[in-house]
Amino acid sequence: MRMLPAEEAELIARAQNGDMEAFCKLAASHQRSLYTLALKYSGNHHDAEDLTQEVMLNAYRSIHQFKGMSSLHTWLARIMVNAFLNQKRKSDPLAWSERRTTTEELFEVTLSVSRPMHGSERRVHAGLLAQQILDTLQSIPERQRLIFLMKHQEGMTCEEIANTMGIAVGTVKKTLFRVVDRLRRRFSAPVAVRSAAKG
Amino acid sequence: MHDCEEFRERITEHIIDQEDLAEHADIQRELLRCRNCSDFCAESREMIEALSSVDFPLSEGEWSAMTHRLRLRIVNERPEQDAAHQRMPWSFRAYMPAAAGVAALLVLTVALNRFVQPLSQPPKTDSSSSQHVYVDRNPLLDPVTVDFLEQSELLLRNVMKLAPNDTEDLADAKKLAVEQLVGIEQRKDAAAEVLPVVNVMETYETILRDLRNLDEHTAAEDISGIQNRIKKSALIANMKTFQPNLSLVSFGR
Repeated sequence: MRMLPAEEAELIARAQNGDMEAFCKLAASHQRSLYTLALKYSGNHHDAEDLTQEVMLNAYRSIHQFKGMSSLHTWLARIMVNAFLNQKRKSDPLAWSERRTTTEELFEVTLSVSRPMHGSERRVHAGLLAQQILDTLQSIPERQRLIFLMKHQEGMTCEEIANTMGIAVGTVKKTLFRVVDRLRRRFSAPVAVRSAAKG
Repeated sequence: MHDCEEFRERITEHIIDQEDLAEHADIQRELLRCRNCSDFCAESREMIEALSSVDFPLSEGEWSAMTHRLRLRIVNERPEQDAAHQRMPWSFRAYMPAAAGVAALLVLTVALNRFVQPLSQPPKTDSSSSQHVYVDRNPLLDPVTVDFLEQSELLLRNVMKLAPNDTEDLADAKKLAVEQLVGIEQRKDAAAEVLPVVNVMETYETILRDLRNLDEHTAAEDISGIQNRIKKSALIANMKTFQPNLSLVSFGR
């Protein structure tokens, strides 16, 4: 539900002048893409929603600092990446498994609601694939996962990633190769599941 | 000389960006030369395509509830920001010597003024300097609906703790469910403008009906099913989300 650039620019200007409603509209417009990034990073719905809300609150506090040098989406994504880098998640495997269960159930419910025409088999496969992808991403160390998501999800260049992470471009390229290679090996899904993704 | 690792590192960025590798003659040459790298390329592309094609769709109701929860947090954030601005509008430390001088001058002026002009009028009270209590309340929800949500949350929490052999608690839960069912239609009408609340209430209504219909003989299985559904729909969290918080946010000018 992205809005037109002119409309977005007007809302940004209003938000920078303290118009909370304008900011809420901006937040609603960017919520989905940020949530998807957070979900792929955190692997579960609850953490993803928490992270998305934290990013939006940080953005609200500092919207006056947004100079329009990049798109608002890029700016928000940068805030989220910084949140990932700064966060120190409690390692609570029990709570995590509970959150994971809820996420699985949420997708199961959602898929059955949003794709009623596709037949039950495909729904199950699509749900399995979504969860499998989240699980596979979780098997990658955090920093590597973040580098991969910055590239794949956010379309950042290796140079931009290197600047953000404070590492060499060569290290970014090596990391991307390792992650892709690892995902490729782990991604041993049945053919039917893969074809479900292709739709 | 073909170096598999160096080559794969080089093409990974293109694969992630889902570029058409046919446009890169040098890459094509090396792919033809090495079967393993060709397999790596094909499998990686397939994996990236799958990763890109699967989104994690949520229902419109869930998006709507998430947007509402986000909005509430932003609304809560605003008074904190305002208070912060009031507390520290500029770097006080830098202006401290000047401020001390001004304060001293002010005290001196007031003192001299009292000697010269005795107070003839009682001091005025400025109504704008009184304290305000900010109520973070969803303006579209009336207090009765808010109470209903609170009671519903309590009932759900109790149901989550229910064990099949707690016959007394079970009877209480059934009784409360019947009472809640009586009023739920009215509450849904009252909250008609807040779609996420209506959605939550509709889910809650199905739980209430199942509670009301609980059979003593199959209670063990039924309760566990109801508890799973409450958990699955995040009903308790949603009930809590739509209840207001109170906080003191503004002070005298």
